[in-house]
Amino acid sequence: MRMKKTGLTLAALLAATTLVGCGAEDGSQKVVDAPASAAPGGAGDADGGFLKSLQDRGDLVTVYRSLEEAAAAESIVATGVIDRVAAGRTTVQTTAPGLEARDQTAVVRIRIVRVYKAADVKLDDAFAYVTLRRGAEATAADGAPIGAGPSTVTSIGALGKALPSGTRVILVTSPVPPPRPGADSGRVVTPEAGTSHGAPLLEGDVSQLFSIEDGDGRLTGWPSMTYDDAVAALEKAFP
Amino acid sequence: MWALLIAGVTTVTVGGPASADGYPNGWYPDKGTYHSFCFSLAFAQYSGLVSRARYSMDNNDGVEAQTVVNTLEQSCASATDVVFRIADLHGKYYGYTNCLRTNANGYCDSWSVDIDWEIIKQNAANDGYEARHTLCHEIGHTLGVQHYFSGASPDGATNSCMISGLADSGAAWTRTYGAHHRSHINSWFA
Repeated sequence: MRMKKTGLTLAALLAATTLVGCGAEDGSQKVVDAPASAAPGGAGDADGGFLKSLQDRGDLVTVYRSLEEAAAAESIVATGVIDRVAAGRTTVQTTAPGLEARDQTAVVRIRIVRVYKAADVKLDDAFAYVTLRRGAEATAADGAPIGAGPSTVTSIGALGKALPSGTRVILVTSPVPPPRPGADSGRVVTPEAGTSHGAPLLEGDVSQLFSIEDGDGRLTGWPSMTYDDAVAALEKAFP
Repeated sequence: MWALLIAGVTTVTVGGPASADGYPNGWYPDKGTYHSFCFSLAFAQYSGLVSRARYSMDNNDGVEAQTVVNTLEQSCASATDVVFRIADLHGKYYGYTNCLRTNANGYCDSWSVDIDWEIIKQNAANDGYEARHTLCHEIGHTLGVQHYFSGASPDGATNSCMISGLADSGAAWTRTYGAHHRSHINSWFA
């Protein structure tokens, strides 16, 4: 029997429903001060399905069985509210001479409410910065997109609409590791985009790591829990 | 366009009509004579991955052998269906698939299949077997099918390479599409 090198266990089942959104890139709007949510606490206007359509899209390394397990394993545990959405890093890979692929991200700025854990990480005093992949596109060497149809990159405007300011957030995550040496996986051309200088960029591509209170009051990454359930669990785990 | 996108809403546990699952974000693969593929300049440096990607596409036990889809290796061009890339997925994913461009009918005309070889080597007991699993999994997305998580196989007790997470045993199912997904792929590309 083969043994895994890590103790990571794939034991949980994530809701895998994929909701779709029109990913038209406006190309001009780089920062969106997210519209204020009308509902108390932010629930009601947030489009959790839209967020989830950008998360869990790869072959995941780890799926946690519980919020408590995730909180023990990840280095940052905090609550907060969404403040704004901005364009994030762009990574460029050369596919063939004259042909490139540009991977685009967004940065969601979270106003921190409470930090339960920040192991070996210095968080900004007021904000946390969470990165989200929003697609990639084939381009010519000058960056001009190639393609006759709809854009494959989700716009900052659409993302800002789905994540209104005031939406409550549970962060159980870790900083993005520094880029690996060499250019095999592409070159990051805008490393500081969307962040405050020196603040760590946190992983948001996995729903269990960056979870919001959806319109129905449930958490997108922990659909069996409400925001209040999660806070109660964290209070217990970090008394 | 919205009709097309709405048709892409699906769950992995429901069989539903015999159409592609719509991955990611509802993009459906373009239906050409061939599902062409190429290797990015960086990916081409990893001969072990290149050979495994070829196995994953060929007519011995790859896509051609398992489905009605014909594959063709070519030099990378803007409309190549699958571009294999090396990626740094931050330790969160073994592989990842993006639609890189769409054509006028709204179908995805070119996909990237990103492999994080460093993370596979770190976590897998047999990195070659896990590479085959991850390649099969990500190529499946380019054929229009969704992944599933442990315990939620659309084929019941039978697993397939579309399971998410480490599957490095080398068992045939780790590099094979299940009946559910083959049905989706074959009806889409027929």
